[in-house]
Amino acid sequence: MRLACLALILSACAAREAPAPPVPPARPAADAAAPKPSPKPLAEENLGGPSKRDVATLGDEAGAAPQLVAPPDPERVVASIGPSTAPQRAASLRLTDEGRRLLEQGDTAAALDRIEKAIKIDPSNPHGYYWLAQVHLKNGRLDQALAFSDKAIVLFAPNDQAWLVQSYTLRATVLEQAGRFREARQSYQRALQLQPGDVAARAGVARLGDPAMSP
Amino acid sequence: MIRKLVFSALFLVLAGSLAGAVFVFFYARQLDGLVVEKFSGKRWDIPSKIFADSILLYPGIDIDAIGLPARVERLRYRETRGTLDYPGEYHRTNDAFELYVREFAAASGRQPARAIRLDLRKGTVARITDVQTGEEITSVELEPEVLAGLYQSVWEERRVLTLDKVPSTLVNAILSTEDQRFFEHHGVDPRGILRAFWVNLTSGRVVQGGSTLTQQLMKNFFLSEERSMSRKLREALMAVVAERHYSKREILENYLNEIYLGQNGAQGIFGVWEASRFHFRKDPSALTLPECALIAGLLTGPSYYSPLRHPERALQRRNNVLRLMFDRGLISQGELDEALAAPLGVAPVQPGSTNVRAPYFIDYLRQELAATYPADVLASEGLSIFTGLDPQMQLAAETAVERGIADLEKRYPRFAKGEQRLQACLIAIHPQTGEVKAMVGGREYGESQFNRCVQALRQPGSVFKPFTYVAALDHDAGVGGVTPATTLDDEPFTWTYEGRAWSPANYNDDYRGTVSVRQALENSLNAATTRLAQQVGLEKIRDTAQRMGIRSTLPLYPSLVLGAAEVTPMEVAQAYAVLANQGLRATALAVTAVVGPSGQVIERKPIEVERAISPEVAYLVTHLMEGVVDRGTGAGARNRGFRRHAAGKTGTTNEGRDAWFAGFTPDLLAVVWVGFDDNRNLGLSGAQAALPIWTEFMKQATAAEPDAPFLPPPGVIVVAIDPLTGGLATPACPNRIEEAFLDGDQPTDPCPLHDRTASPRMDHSDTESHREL
Repeated sequence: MRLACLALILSACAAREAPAPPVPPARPAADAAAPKPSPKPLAEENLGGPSKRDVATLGDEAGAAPQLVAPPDPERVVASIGPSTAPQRAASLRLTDEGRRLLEQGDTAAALDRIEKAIKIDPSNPHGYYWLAQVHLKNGRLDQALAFSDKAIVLFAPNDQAWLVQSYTLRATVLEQAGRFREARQSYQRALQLQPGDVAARAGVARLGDPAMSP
Repeated sequence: MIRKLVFSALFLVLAGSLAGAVFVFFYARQLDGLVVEKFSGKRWDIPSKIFADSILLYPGIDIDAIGLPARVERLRYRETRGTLDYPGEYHRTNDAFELYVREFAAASGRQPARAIRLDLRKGTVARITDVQTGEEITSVELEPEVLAGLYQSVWEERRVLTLDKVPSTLVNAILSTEDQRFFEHHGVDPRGILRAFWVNLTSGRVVQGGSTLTQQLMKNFFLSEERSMSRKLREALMAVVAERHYSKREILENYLNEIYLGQNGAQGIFGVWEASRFHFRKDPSALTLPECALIAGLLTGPSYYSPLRHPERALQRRNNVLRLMFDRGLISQGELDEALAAPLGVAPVQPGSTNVRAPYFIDYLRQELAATYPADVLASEGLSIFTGLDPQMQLAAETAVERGIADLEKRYPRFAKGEQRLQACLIAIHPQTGEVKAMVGGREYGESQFNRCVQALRQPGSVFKPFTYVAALDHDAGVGGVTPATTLDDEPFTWTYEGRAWSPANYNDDYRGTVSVRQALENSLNAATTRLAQQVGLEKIRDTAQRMGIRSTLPLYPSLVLGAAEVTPMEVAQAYAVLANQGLRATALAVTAVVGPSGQVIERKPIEVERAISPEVAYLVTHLMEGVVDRGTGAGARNRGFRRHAAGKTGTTNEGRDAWFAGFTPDLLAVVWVGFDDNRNLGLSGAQAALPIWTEFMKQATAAEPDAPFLPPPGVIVVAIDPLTGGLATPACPNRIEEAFLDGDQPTDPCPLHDRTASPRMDHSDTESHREL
């Protein structure tokens, strides 16, 4: 807990090395007097939420730890396509899923082709950018992986918290691989602000250690 | 004495014969080498082809909005009445569109041929099924259209086939008319020569040739059309040499791929595969007996017997071939009778179905390819070059430019006079991928190949203004504290820079006093914009423009702010695309992939992006530019019926030499320029000259896509404010506007001017109507 606080304080003081990752979304207010509603995902956009919860807890210095949360299940994305899903989005999600499977099989060239097609059909499909970032990460093209993970963050932000968290951790992973540890830590912490139990984000913050010791 | 003379004559004859034989021997050896080299090496130059973007069909797509019927016509699919038997056929009813999609080699791999059924509901695809298996399919790719071939001097369109892919009926038809004793002679047929000689002698003219198929092949491979004894002798010798080395099968196969069988514009039709596709929209395997006979009949005169230009002649010739086949016992009486009764069956060319050419785009592409591929490789290695160009959008762009210019010349007859003609250009790109979707470089390619999209350096005028606003709103690069609600003085003033004074003037000398940043951009106010630029600094504005994609030199003079530095429309398109793509600049893509003749991927260009500005600032400026289209200088687009979410900017230079409109939806961006090449006064604004062309194009180009708003990223707050005061709107404010702010910049105090208790009037617009600038 102490380390997490220290990380937060230091990150607020640290000079920027790159544009800060997008902050968690705030709702636009139609009237300034009205309270801002908390974000609620739309039914057809609630794609790929956590399929199960890991209820294991870890004790830590501060006392009760948040429940650990597994990442969203990508298989559920296509399964969630329904009659209310816009046709371009549906086609784009299916192609994205094909790309994801090809990536898992190690065929990054074919994966890239599918996912780029998916983006052409629906340039607002956040999953397309997420998986495009994954392909580029696999290929070692960290600059492209970073740009596309940023894009995924922007597009997931309004409606899909689970995948937004996932995108922040992906961004953090890319930054970590690029040796940009301070920014990586910031991204992991953004993810934890949204989902304190995110396994990857907690592991990332723990791994990156004391911010004062890292570049 | 006589004996001596006889012996001398005999000696001379023998010596002469020996010399001749020696000459023929060595000459034949030389020809032998030539023939072997030709047969064992690359026999044909296969031109590389440039393809448009392929299209993906999926449930929910509107087949008329995407122009599917026109696309299949341009791809020369053959409409059938019943079932689909062969690739390249289609059949349409009110509630279904069946298509036998052809196999093609894409960058992602070979796409197999497949018969599919699109179940339609009011023109929209409800379901796609595989006709053979009944399996439901989620999407299927239709092969891309050919835009152009890259060739040295003559475009020989040819697909090389092996003999086993050619139906025996076609082979028999060709042999019946060209070389009945093909399998019996050894390259030259003395009986054939004598027969032809007798027929020609009795006819009094040349009606029959005596050349064998092998001789014809040698002539096509090596020799000219010259009609001389020496050429005939060479041809005969080469034929004999070829038959020594190669089997009848090999010679026949080469012949069937070599022969000239017609013309399609600039494109020569060579080989039976191309002839079959061109005349009947079929693969050779699908040809019927009369169709085979027609193709065989073309050999002696493809133009003379062209079924498109001379159908009666073609029919007569076809029937002669059929009778020859019957005489040789190759077909029965019944088959002959049925074939004679069959119509020509040649697929007509539908109006408007000719291939999309996009000549300016092809030139642009050639330049890009020239950096990597030598011209001779492109002209001979049969590469497939894939692009992102959309044929429907290209047609829409060409129509919009043509109509736009015609309309201007009609309304302003002075434009139609004089040597210099009014010009325009349009470029459309996909912001997220960088793909060029349409490119029209001028009013008429045949008149001028100068590609104004990429070659014309013109002053952009007010189209340059958004860069100042981007720089101002970017707290890292700008002055800090500037928001869309910040007020500016729109009053005459003088900017002294490096000892020189400059006074920007508003259009019609109309100054508005105190205005917001939003109002300044929506109404393209020069004085207010320049004041803002003075605060931001010219260097920051220049740096912003360059980060966003402007590559031309931008001298640091105050007039830079109002677009005095020359740029190309392509640069403007790329820079504006950064706004549509949430701050990411996508590298412009003309070529997306290059594939070799065997389907091997030689080059593949993925989408490449780079962060130019933050997504928050991109959204803020986009939001301002939406106002330009909704109620500002670009509102003419709304008046002309364009209803989608869109952002844009008009541009007009001094004395109206250049008229611009650059605008975008979340998924598509287009830039239009109108003017004269010699820089004379056009006298029209961007809203008057360029905006109508942009609007017509965008209405067509976005017809198949759903409307979507621009999405604010995290870190942007949208609140209702009073545009007059910039304070949070209260119920008493007579006007209110949804304004976007960086989180933390939004006003927190209510509007100080209007009493909370008075009744509100909901009005999202600036009360002043748009001004044409």
